[in-house]
Amino acid sequence: MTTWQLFSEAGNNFRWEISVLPSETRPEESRGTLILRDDHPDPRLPSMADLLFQGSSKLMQTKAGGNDGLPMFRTGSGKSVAVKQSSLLKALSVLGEEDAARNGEVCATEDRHCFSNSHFRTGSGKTVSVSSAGLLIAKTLLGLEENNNHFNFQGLGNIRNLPTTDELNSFGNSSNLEIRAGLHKNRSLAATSVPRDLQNAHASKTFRSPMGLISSQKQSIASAEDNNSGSNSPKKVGSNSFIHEETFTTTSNIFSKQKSSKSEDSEPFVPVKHPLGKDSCSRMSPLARSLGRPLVDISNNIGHANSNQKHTPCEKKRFGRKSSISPFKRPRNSRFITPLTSTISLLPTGPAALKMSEGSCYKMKVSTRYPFEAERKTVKEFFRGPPCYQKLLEHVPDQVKFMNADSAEKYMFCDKSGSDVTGREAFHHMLSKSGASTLNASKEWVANHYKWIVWKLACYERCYPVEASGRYLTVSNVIEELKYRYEREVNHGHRSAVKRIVEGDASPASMMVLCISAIRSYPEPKLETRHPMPSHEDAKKISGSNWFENSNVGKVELTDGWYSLDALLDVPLSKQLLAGKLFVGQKLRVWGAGLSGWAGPISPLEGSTEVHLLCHINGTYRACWADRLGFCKGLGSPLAFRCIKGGGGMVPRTLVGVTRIYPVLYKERLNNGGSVVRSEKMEAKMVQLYNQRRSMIAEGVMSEFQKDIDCPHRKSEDSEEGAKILKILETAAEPEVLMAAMSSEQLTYFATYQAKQEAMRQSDMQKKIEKAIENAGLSGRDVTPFLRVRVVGLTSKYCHRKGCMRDGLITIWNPTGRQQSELAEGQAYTVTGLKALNSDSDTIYLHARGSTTSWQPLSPLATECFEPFFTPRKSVSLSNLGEVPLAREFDIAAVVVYVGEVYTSGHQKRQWVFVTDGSISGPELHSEGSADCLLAVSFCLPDTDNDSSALINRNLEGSTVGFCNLVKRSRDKMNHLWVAEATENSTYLTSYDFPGCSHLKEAASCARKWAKISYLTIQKLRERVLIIIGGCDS
Amino acid sequence: MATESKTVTEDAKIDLFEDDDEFEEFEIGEEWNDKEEGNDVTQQWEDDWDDDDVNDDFSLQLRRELENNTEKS
Repeated sequence: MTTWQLFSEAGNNFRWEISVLPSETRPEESRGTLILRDDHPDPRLPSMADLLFQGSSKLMQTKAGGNDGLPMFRTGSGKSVAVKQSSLLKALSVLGEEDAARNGEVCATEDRHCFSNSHFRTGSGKTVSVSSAGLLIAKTLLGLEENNNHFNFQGLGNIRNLPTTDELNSFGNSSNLEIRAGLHKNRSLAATSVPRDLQNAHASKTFRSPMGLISSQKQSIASAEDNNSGSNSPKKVGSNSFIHEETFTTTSNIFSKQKSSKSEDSEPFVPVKHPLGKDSCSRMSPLARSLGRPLVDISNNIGHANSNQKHTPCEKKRFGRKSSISPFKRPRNSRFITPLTSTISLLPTGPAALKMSEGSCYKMKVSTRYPFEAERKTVKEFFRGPPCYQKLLEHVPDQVKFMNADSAEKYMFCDKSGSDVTGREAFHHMLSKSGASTLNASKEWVANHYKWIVWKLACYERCYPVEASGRYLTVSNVIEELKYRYEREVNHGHRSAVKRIVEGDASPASMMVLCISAIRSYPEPKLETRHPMPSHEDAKKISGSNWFENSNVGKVELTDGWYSLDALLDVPLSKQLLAGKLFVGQKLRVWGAGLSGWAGPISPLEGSTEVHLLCHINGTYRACWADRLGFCKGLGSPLAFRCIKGGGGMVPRTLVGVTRIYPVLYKERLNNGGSVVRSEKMEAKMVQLYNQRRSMIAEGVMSEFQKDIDCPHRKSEDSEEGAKILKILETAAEPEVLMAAMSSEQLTYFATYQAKQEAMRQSDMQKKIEKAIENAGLSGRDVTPFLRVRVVGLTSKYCHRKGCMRDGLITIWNPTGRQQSELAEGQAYTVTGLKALNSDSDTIYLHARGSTTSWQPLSPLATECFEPFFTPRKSVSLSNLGEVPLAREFDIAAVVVYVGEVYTSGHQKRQWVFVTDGSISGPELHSEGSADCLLAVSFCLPDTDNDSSALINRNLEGSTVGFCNLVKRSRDKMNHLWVAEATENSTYLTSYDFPGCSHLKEAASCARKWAKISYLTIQKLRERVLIIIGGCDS
Repeated sequence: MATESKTVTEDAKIDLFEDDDEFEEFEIGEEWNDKEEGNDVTQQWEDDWDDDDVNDDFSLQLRRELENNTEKS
């Protein structure tokens, strides 16, 4: 609740202060305050619009006491306001000098204050205007003319009626009981009992008005003070007074004020530190300190507002962090769906939530063990190794031996005699006896945690029968753990991974370790035979969003030890489930998982059957038995490239060495559903062609259109003045003369008409062009650039697992400029966001979108840790082409001997190019037929562009050309020819200054030199080629 | 000795060692320092689902035991 207080500073200075309680003061500037207090537990805070709306009809405006003469009072905006000495004296006399001297304050609070005045501003600095009629009404209501001492309230129909002026007038002299009665009567939504200050507030809220009414308001202060005197400390506070107040200040430093109030407000959530009954006059103590109960949210700050609305009182620790500062922008929807990174938990709100929140403020330390003081051993250190089942002892009861998570919930502890059994209900009772709120530790809550604790303890008992020997699964241990969990979750606001995920506050894609607690369903066993390895099509389906709907996938329950969540496994993981590699008790490191069926925050206790974690094999790894459950800190280790499974979904992170980067290509999706891939050069050509066709069509349309225009009797709107003038001018013999005689108005008409006609013409023409282009199928091209990168998995030098490196071909769609320019062959990278499509024995095919994949180069030091992976490009000569394995790519610089004719084969255009270099010389070259000094390169291109131009220009004959990424094919033994194929990744070039082709420079220059002196040899070779071709033809 | 063992018995399990479900509370979603970590990666997650020789022989044992238990129950 808010009050206004008048403080005397040194000398004759007085200040107005806003204070949450009269007992507290803040040494800050005064400001006008618009307060909305709503005791209704509706979580939605009123918006500015709400307030203004209310304000317009139930205006309650008060004018702060201020007098001429003493400019010690300041308005919210910092302006000095004159206060008459006489007024002050009068005020003092009314207040009683002693009181005034002691407290120097006037307290005022209201239930609803909505004022409007151009000098009032919202928190964002917008001026709030009030009509003069509104002011008049206010004045009348407040009785300003006759009696300035008080103000009136005019409530909206559904809003409590506040005491009338007369009632308020009576405040001063009436007993508190009367006031209270009055409030009770009028405040249907308000607190059942109201602190005295609150009551006083009705009578004494004082707002500074800039309208010159201030000076006449002094009485209101004085009269209020009567009520206020000696009653700064609330004696009794309602238990249900959840009050939202919005404080609108006219000061410009609202944000700083808000901040300070925020920090103060959050304090009472640790009531232990602020015992009740603190001296009410303490200047530093915030409101609720003396209340010792759930606090009124004054700040209208999202963080605060939420905290009052939530089930989880655990938000305490988050107050200082991300709560929004802007107090007036709270979404109208009470469910503020935050991004996943938000720290505010979002739970359904309602009275129960408020109650819980309220209860939480009585938080008692339930577990004395948390936070743990001494460092304890980890499970691994304590047990010194994984359990050994061979030691499983006979004395472990069957109930424990065969317990699973589901049966754990029903487990009953029996005492030795077997007469007394303790189940989860009894634990619920015990926990509440320890001081836990039953609202937080509900039956469901206890049942859930009981289940996981009992299961865990039973697991210790059967895994370590010697160490445990019945001492772990005990009543006292269970209750201790329950208390510990209550302490962490309720009192400390800690939330486990599953809870954070289903509450929408953490991304399910974060890396976490979860344990399989149950197998919910197995996939159909046929899966294995039907899909030995997902095909490319399957992979496509898998990468779609609905693949999990397939009934052929397995479903398991995963737990973080606190809560559980069902998870759907993708096809490869389902196969692992069938193979028995996923089993109850297995811990999984899950990364990059999705969430299906999740529409908004839910409680993990709800156990929704629709919400599923979506796990895929490339983001799901087997974890060590002792790994800590829950979210993992830091970036996880990258998945070894060789472990990536085709069709196994997104690979969160992996390590690769780039061996080859291929030129950017362009894939055009055609209207008929097909597609064509082009090189950069071809694409440029296509763009040019496309633009040419478009402009040709446009020109055609335009010339047609021009003919139409030239047609004399076009539609003309005769009704228009301009049209008439045009008609006259058109028919006139000397239009210039006519125009000269026209009035300026007529000329304007004419010009406007002409402009309009022209605009219409343009628009018509544009439409026609567009239509014609569309009809010609040229309305747009669907072209996507892509970059292919050949990579290889990295093997650590220290890894005992040696094997051949696995190759991968990554297609980056729409590569970023940075990726195009910075990716380098020979460099190792950590790559994120790759999606595995399919794989064959040698290569796995992955793809990525330029914008969502990141390529982080490994430092040379880190790269040193891995086996070398890179074979730099080098120019191969014909003499050592035999060393290049079949189907392997190679680069060569050679002299073009002959460029063959373009021919069509199937749907492809093909062309053979014969090259040679000087590497084979001497007698070998001359012994015709035996020397392998010719290389035949096959170029091909999809025959879709109706482009008759050659792939390779005949002009190239005789010149030296560098070829990159030719693929070696089997030799033509009959003709003694090396054969190679140029794929879409191949390039040829005649200049070697570009990066990535310098390795050809030297070879090219050698070949060129050789060509200069070997004209005859080249001619001979050409003849040989012609013979071969002729032979083929015949 | 008797007293000693009694003390041990009375020790709450929770004080003996840290459970694997005692999660750490921290902010996630904050940018892990990609640059530094990216450069320092030398460890890879080497476990391949298709490999049967899982380093963690506990897993194998657990599987065997679970199978046995299922048969018994």
